[in-house]
Amino acid sequence: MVKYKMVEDVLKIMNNIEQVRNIGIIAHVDHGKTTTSDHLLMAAGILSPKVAGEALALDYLDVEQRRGITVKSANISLYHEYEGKPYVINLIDTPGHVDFSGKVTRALRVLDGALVVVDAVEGVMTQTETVLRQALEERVRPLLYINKVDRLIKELRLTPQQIQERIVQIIKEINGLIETFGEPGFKEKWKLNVAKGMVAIGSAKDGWGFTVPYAAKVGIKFSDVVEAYKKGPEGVKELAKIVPLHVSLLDMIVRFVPNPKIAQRYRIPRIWRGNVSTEIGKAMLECNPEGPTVIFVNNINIDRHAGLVATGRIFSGTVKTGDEVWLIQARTKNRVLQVSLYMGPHREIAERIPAGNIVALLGVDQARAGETLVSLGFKDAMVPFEKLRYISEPVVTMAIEPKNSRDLPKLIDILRKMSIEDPNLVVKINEETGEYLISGMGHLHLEIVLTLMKENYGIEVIPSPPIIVYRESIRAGSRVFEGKSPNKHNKFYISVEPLDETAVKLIQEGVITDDQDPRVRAKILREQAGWETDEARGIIAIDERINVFVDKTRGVQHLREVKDTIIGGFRYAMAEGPLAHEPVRGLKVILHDAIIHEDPAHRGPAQIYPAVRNAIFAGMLISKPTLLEPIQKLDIKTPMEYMGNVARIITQRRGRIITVLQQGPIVRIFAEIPVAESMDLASVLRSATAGKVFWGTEFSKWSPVPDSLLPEIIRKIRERKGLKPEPPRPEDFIGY
Amino acid sequence: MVWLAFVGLGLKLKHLTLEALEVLKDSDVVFLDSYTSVGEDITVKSLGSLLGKPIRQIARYEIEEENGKIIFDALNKGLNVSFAVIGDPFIATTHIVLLLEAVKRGIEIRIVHGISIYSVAISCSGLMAYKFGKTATVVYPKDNITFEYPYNVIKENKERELHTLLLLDLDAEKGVFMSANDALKILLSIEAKRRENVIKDNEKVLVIARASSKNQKCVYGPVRKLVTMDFSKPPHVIIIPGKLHFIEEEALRRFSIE
Repeated sequence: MVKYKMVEDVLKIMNNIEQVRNIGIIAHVDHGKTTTSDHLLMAAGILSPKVAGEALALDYLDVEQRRGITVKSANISLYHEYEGKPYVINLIDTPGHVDFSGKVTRALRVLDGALVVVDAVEGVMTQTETVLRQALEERVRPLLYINKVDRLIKELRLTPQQIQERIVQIIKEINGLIETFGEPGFKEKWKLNVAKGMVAIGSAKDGWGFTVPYAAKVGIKFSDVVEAYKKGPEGVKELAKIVPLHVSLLDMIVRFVPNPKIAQRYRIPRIWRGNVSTEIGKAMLECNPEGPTVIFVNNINIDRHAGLVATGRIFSGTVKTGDEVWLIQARTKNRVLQVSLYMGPHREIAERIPAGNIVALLGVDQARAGETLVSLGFKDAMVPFEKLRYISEPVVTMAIEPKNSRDLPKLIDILRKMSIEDPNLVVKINEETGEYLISGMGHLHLEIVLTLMKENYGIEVIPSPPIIVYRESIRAGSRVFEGKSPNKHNKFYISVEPLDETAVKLIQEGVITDDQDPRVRAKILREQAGWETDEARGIIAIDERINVFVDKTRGVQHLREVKDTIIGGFRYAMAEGPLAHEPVRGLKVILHDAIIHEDPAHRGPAQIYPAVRNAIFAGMLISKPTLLEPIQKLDIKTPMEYMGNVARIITQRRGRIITVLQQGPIVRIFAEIPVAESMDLASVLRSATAGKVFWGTEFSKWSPVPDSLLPEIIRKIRERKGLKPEPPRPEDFIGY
Repeated sequence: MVWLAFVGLGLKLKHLTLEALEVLKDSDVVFLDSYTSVGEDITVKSLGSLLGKPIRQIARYEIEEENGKIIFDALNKGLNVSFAVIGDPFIATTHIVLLLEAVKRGIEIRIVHGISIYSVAISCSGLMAYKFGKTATVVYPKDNITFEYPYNVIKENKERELHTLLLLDLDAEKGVFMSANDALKILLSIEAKRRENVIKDNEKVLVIARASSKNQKCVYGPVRKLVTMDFSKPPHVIIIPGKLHFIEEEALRRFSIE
């Protein structure tokens, strides 16, 4: 069979690293990433030519096909010959929907090149920009493929001249982004040169495409393309034979994406925080198959039969069945039970796969996306690629219960599996009501989760209406409050203030972390955020919702012994704030002094948690407390005549228009709108524009709710949670 | 004028002093602290039938979170109130806060001392009261935090050749009664981590189970043996001897298992 022969061929070339490329396809949602991937799959001989374009092999989940977007990353290894030489192209499919962009950075880390797919009609959109910027930050070299050119011809009926102008415009925009976000030393070389063949145009649906040099070689012009479409399906089929898309794209990739050996030399210093002059650092720089094994896991899937499948890139060494590896984040060792490579949605077993390649592993059951695997002998020497980072914060929650109560044990199991695969899905149990709460990045994200549950696991649930997640914060600093333990024998003197924007950013980006060397952390905060030395050095906890706890006490007896308990009290307070029991964000809590009971019997968590919390809450309540609501970015393209309608919808929903760009007959509107106001935005926008609207959304920021709405929102949340409608007063937290 | 009495009950009904009986009988309301300790036979029921009046059990949250509101409400109604506590009201408790608050409010205070585990344990052991150092409570790890304080106390006391009385974690409301076995295991786990030779396997310590009750049990022996020995029902305490006087040595020999 062709297929198995292919696997052997692929494995043979994988050992010759100069003939390997690691590439991903990045694009705004619906710009045709999956259709493009399928054409490449077709070239590898795995799918029959007829089904590509419709089968969407990468969208192997039914739900994704129906929605036409890719939810999960899948990987394939392709085979391609260029100038008589065989190449293996590891292709990783990255999610394009904005709600899932948490996975994109991880996917980019394992790539050396990115094929940016842009819809010729819609042009460069928010997500194109976001992902391209992320790619450049990871030193992933971009190449451009302008897709759906058929629509310019058939739908917009543009002339060859106009088509050319449109394409030039898109290239200009992409080059502008490379200029803005690329690093000096890279961007000069990476700016797209059309004449050299760094840009392809075509139609993945119809299977044709070319670069300028390729077109020149076979003698094709724009006018020929327009002619082909005039002739109908036969003409288009003919065109696809003359300029097959996969050849154009794969040629471009082989020519311009560096092989892993070259790429790792400049990418390792950027994507890895360790010292490159160590043994392990050198092995990665050199992409040495004889070096210690280092694998960065970018994706985890739960396979119904095989169990947990970890996919990642081997940066050094060679991984074999039976190898024992150390998992840095999980702090444990696992045995590799199976090594395989990807061919379409299937894994094919391999004995061993060397450095520079993408691999799928069975047996590393404790691994999660973002894990670093390393040879046992280097477990202490290896600096992980990624620390346990604060994942994107979910903004929408739903309570679910199974339609059939007998499904409850199954539901628990399924939710566990799904949250392993999707780090943006947060599952919690409401201990009072016994409800399962699922939280995600947006309405669409949760909708997909529910569909997956039904389609993949056959379980139907009854969801509650989606609930917006808020954060509690403050807008002023407080004086020092005394918090007493219930037994009144322990006292904590605490003030609170808003955490500065720079510190928030440093924490969000993972530059400042809870488990960091305190001296390193203090230095960064002093130099970048202007913190004073004693505060910067005094940090004893940073919680995942971006709150910082600073200990400024000196020589308090027994403090060391109860430090962890005090931190527990801080976390307990941050998990549910005083206004509406919503998580707290952006607080700097300072411990100034403490008095602690002599004996542990009288200073356990039951005494200390409330003492710490009471002081923090009293402080928060006098510091202009407020709720922060999630705000989302909108990028809307619509014909000029609907501009007024769209603007009105946005402003009616407490939205704000940031800029408006005119691009021909189309206006592009950049706006911001609270998530709370955008539940039915899709249908409203469509009906206001007669369906002539493209739009994308992305999480933007947490922002204070208007003061005029604050009391009402607080009251509603409190009532929903069964609390008394009025929030507490500062006095409630200061006992005798 | 109303008064608030803090009445120590001792460790069993027979420990009740004549003064305690008198004050309890004179009170309009008797609250029994049900959480700081546990007596051999002292319950709301047994104390009630002894006094011939109903006793109200009082929970920790009523004293701590609610700041003793229930007591002050009774006083405000013009009732004389007894707050009855197993052992002595102010030894190894935090009730002094309640007393100070009552004083602030100008309420007349009566104090009836009771027999405490503090004196009973020392008395049982035959060790010299003069030679005890700090006392500490061994508590269960909470939220994965092990409290090493007792280990530090034993260390300090030993350095000064003093004995250490160890009380064991007890929360009657939550049904937590630490056994001597668990306490020794916790100390050994801290030793395994710190390795400062504070608790040794073959070192002899004294375990007193149910001090002063009819079936009191005192055992003196090496830690490695006591750690698995069954001492039966709580409460238990442990004494870690410092340097022993020859009379003390002889006194402990009464309980020796070797």
